[in-house]
Amino acid sequence: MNRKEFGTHVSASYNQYLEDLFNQILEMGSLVERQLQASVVSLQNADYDLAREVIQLDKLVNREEMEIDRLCVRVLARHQPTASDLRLIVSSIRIAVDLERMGDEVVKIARLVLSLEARVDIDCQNLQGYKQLVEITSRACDMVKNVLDAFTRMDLSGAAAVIEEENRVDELFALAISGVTKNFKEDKHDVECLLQLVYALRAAERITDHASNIAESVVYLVNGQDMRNMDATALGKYLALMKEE
Amino acid sequence: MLSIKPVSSLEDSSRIVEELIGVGALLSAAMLLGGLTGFWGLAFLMAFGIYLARNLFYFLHFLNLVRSRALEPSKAPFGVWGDIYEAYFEKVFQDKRRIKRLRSETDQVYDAMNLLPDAHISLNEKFQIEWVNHSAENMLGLRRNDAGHKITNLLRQNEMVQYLERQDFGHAIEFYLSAESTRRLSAKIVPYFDKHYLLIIRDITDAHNLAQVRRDFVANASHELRTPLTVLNGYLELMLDSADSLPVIWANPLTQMHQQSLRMQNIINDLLTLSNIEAEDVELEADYVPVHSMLQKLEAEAQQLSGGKHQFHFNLESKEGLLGKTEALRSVFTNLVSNAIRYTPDGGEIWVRWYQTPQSMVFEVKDTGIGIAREHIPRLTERFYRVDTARSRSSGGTGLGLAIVKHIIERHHAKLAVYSRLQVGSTFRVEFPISLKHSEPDV
Repeated sequence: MNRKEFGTHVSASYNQYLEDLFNQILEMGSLVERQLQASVVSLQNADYDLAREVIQLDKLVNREEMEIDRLCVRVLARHQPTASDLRLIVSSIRIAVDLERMGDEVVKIARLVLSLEARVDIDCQNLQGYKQLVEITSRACDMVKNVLDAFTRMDLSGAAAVIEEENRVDELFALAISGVTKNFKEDKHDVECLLQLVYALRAAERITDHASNIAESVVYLVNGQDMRNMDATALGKYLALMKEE
Repeated sequence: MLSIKPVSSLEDSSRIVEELIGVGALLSAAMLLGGLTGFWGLAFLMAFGIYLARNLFYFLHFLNLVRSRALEPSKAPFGVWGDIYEAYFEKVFQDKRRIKRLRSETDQVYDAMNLLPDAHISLNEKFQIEWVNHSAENMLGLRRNDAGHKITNLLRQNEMVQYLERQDFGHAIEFYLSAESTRRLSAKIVPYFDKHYLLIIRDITDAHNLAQVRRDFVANASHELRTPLTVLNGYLELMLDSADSLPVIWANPLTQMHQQSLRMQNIINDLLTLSNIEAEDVELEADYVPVHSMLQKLEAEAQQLSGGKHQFHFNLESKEGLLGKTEALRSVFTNLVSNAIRYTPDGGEIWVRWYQTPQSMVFEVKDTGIGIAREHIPRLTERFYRVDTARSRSSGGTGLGLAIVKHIIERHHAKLAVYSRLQVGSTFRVEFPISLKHSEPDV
């Protein structure tokens, strides 16, 4: 399936609506991407202003979600889309929800950075878990970039790569959590910092989950295939098939 | 392959003759048949039918030929149809050649585009990608088959999105590809062709870093030099104060040392000013600057600086002020006027004007000084650039005045124009955009 298909209707306004919807999703995606990039930098450099910006940006992200809903309803009401057009609407709504959730999760990471602002006495940044958090967030950042590119290009192999990457991040997350658990048991670190770290790690991991969901929506949009009910082996086969394309 | 004939072979009547002979032959056959059988009407009808059938056959055949875009000529038939076939094949042949030539030309252009070190992306009026070159693929991760996508769907950087939204392509933008990328990119859009845009993206990391290193170095070095100089200066002043108790031969050297250290201090102050201006990345916070009254004060200062050796004409035609930075603008005006004083021989005249034109607010300093040779004018605003090294040293300038002027007026989106003739005099004109004009606010 090709991106150009959405521009082939007789009605020019229909074409325009779908085009607007498409662009709006990527606009929202770029905001979330910006949030994520800013959160990575603010984690690395303990940049508190940037962390505040991340939280500010979330308001825009929420507004974008409403805008996408509005555009979807407009197309549904005026043109009763079918086939790939209908799939675009369905996946747009799903992607918007995922992006909005991502925005909320990034805010949690930014909150961790801000919670450290007042506490110069503790060295949260030197914990192993903190470094892994930076790593996971940065991976999440790449995943969001790749999944948005895959959406733009209707690129199945790009979407498959994101879904596979998510499994790798899960392993990283498990490792980081076990590290933090160990820190808890040692009883010599600041508990508040460790707790915040767990929240942030969980948030970063959730972001990669949402990225993977978006990748699934892309597959649904392109192939009409719902991947959510596949078991591990079927999924593996299907991913391999998609990568070949 | 057919031999190529001019398309207008209708003038060549041989085919028409052929056709007429054919028709004649058909008619005589009909007459013969009519004479033999007595069915004249039927015979002519048959002849007419045969003629019609032939034409219909070739008509369909030709249609098929055109539809299938047959490129290889088949045998041209007898009569007028032959003409049509030949004309068609000739056209096809010419087109083929033309297409081949065009293709090789476009290939050449694409090859050249691909060899360019900067990323080039062609966009249509909706900012959708039309093609990208190799550098764009390598530098930005775009793909050859990305045509049709809106550029901001793939390059989602905030700077890029805003650049396209503003549609003000007079200047370039700079951005990072991602938060963690260390490559600094500069992008510029050039409209071309009919409602098309060429997006050129250049990797300026090295230049950017180099400029940063230079700025940091100058700022740090001048800052580090300031303290020792202040100490030196302080002790020199102390010694000068108690000069009576020192041997007489030290009086002159001490004064000289003091003067030179003051000069060094001026240079360092100017360097720091310059690096401060450069470091200000943000758009300037504008205040109301009362240019008129500022220039009135400047006139008194100028008289004092000149020591009555020059004649001043201050024509302050406009009462308006500007929106800008007060201190910065004061240093622009002071620098230009003191330059005029410095480079105008005793007894010369200096005109200072402040006036309004439809597009701009203009500050102008004109003198009857020594003038500047044409080759020096473009380089005047470089730091430490000296037209005449010996002379400038003796006149006590720091060599940074015009560099500061240039940076400040750039910040105010103004333009500096210099007109000069050797031994006749120079004119320095600063044109501020009219949008900066501001009347005195009511207190």
